[in-house]
Amino acid sequence: MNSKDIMNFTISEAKRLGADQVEIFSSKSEYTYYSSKNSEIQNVETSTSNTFNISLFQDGRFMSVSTKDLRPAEITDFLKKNLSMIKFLDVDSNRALPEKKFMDKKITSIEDIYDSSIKQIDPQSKLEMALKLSRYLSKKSSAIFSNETFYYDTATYNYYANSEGYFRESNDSKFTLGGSAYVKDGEKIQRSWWGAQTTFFKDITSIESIGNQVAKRAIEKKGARPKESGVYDIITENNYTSNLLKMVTDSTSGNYLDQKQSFLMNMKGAKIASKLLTIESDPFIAKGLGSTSFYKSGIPANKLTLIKNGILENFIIDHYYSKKLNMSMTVPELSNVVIKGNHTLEEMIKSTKKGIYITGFIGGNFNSLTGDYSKGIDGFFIDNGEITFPINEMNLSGNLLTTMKNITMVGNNYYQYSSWRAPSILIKDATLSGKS
Amino acid sequence: MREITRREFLKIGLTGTSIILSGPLLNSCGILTRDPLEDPMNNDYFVRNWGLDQNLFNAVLQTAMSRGATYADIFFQHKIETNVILKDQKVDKAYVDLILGAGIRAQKGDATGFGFTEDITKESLLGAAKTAALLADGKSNSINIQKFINQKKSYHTKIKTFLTEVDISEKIKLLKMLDDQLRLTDKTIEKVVCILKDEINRTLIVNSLGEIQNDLLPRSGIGCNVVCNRKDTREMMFNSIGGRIGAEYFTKTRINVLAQRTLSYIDQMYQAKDVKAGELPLVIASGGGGIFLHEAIGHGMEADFNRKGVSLFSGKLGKKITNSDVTIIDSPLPENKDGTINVDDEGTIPRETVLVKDGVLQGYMQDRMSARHFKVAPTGNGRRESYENIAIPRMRNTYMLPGKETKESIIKSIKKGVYAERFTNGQVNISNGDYTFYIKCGQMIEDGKLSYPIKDVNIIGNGFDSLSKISMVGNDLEFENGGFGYCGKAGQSVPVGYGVPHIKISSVTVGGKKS
Repeated sequence: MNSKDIMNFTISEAKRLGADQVEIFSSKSEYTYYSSKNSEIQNVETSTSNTFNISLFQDGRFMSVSTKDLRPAEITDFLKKNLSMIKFLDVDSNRALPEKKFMDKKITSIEDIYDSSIKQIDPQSKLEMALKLSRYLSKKSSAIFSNETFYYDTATYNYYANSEGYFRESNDSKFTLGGSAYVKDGEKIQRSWWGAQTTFFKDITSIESIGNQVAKRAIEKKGARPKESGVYDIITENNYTSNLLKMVTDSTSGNYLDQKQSFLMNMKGAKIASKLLTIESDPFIAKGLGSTSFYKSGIPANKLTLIKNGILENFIIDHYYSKKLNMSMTVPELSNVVIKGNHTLEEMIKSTKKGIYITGFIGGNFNSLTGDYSKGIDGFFIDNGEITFPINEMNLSGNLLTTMKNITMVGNNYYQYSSWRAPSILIKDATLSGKS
Repeated sequence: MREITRREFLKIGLTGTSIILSGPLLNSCGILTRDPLEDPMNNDYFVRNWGLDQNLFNAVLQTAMSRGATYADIFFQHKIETNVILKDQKVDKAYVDLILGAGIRAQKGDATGFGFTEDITKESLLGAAKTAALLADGKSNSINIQKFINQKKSYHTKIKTFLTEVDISEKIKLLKMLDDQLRLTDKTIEKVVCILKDEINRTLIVNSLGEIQNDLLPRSGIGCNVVCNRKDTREMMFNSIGGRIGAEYFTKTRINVLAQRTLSYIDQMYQAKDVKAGELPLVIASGGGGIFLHEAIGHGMEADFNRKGVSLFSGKLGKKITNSDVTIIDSPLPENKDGTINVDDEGTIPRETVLVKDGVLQGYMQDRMSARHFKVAPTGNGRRESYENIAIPRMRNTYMLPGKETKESIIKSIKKGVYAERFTNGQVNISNGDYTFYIKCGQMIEDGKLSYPIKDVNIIGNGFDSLSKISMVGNDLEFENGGFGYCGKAGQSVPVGYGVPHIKISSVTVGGKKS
């Protein structure tokens, strides 16, 4: 049976066994992974992983189940066992398949998120990319005593079907080439990491440019040390901006609001950030790593403005929380996160008198109820508009509302290798702990 | 694109005693009941259900080694996990996840070939074996095992009843009991989510050395996330208990202690004041404070990083790195803890690994590949998240042996410092040794006494530096008691345990909102 047949079989079996409504999101993901260490082959992997998630609805009761055992008799047995449990659950009248009015919205097709040549690419040439990058790093600098590199690709085939007769499918592909370099630094070892991810094989950045980044990032870390505790301006490297802003966007989700766990509760329409900050979700970007034409609930994807000029415009509300919280449905999740600014990174650094350019976070956490956060960082000390020496072993702590309001510049250098297309941001007066 | 190096934990240390839920819990009509004929410690579960036999094992291993690999293994897994959730006083959501598959791995030197399948048929297994074989490009290493040997092992997961076998109506009673306890105790509660989880993980490992091993590991836990609202100010806490335990663990006493402990943390958070950022002495509380060992030294002592020479600890065995009172062990043996295993995921019968003895670095945690490299015996630290991943060196239960000091004497020795009580997560950079862990709540120490509560503070330090600054070791070793926590490495999550007595570190960097 193919994916569609298995889904149809499962839906009809679940209905036969007593479910009122059934929904299935399944995907088949084919991946290849090759890695190299110091120009030698380290890992060779290829496999296919299936996910098969079933939502069962019966008399206002709900279960979400998944199985890897797709033999028909086993599916029937699995459904039987689950449906024998569902009757013990309490009723939640908000649980149901999405209404027709949502499902029937127009589906926007997206360009270039699936590279149909993926099956034709010679495995040897993929392996060779990991090996070439490793060889490049070995030759690049004598300071690099060891390196590890990898090539990874995945093609994913997504399917959605429900008992009301809706069926959707989409494909996407991702290609990644990256590596790490290790450099001796006295008793310590400094390690860097860099990589590029694209939706098309031919768009993978050149081995040289990735290798140069990996090498530069390791070598520059030599001699890293903490600065004194105090108040500094901070600039985030574009790929790490999401580490701060994700704490904010997570706190806008229906689940957090429902459980009163968000510091942004009741703040719709309020100014929660500098007017320089606008955060949008756009699922339709060609070659976007977070692009999608429909969500796992089968509902067609949509754009959303979450924060506009510092004002909290919307929350992330799916069809379930829309009913439970009596709020309008927006989107169930962010797809490509788009943040735009005008400044170059150089301008941002130049304008900083005493600051830290953050090029990595380590550990830390936040309290979604209060917005307080505390995270380890490393990066570079900025002195009078110039990057000077590398820093590490420092903590950045604060409250997200203050941090967001203290954004004074937003970069134009958005990060292209993630669904978070965020640029660097400059935040004034951040509290850092380091040396006494 | 960020690298996956996050190490996440949720934990709590507590003890409980009396067992009240016995008879009714034995009604077994849960999601996946055991076959009545099945001996859980017998390795024929996969053999019976999928018609596997010696010929098939030989054919698959032979295929995996058909291009010159010197070692191969097959890892079969069947796991079922159930989560039942109470929210707003209703148990209205349940998740059930069944995973099934087989991973086939071939090795030659430091190289690994790997493929997996979710279809347990001869054809698919041979297909995955062919993929694994691709790591090498030479002559076939022929094998033909006449009889796979199942070496005798001990069991450290002793339970009476698998929670997975318990009727869902009984599970719902447990969740409502916890919710009731919380709401009876604290009238300022606004929101409660309680989760009861259970899993049964069956594995079978067959390798080209002619070994066959199986395991059946349970894991269960109950947790609650509570939001209180006092005078329009909200505070929140997640707390849980669990481990590789049976249904009998979930006693009324334990549930009550969990509820009271959670609420007392919330009380503490309401009184918390901001911390001034900077370097301070730190006292790590016994139990969950073991996260410090996990991050500051544990990962750095995993043999793969040392085989590659990229750990801060590489080449430093035999070196004195800390106080002579410090002995740190990673062990599969403590009964029913999150990191307890009966056999590792490479079929090695696991043993205790001493990482530090009397302040001196002793030995790395080895999987088979690294053990061959170092020419030592594997220690049984080869673990994997599932059949979709290769086994790599991982911790099991990492803990420090008790010393002589008391909690009181340690606190008394500090003029101004931080007492870290409850933790959520941590992370480490293996190479430069920088580590962090997050204090959800704790207290300031002033003039040798606990003075006022603090919360939401990250600690950052360097592994070697902090270990060398362990100046006092308490006599009160406790293990964390989680059920929900995982450790992440190379994109794989595995359950681990840890423990520590009260210890003092003379100086670390404490995050704080006040400058």
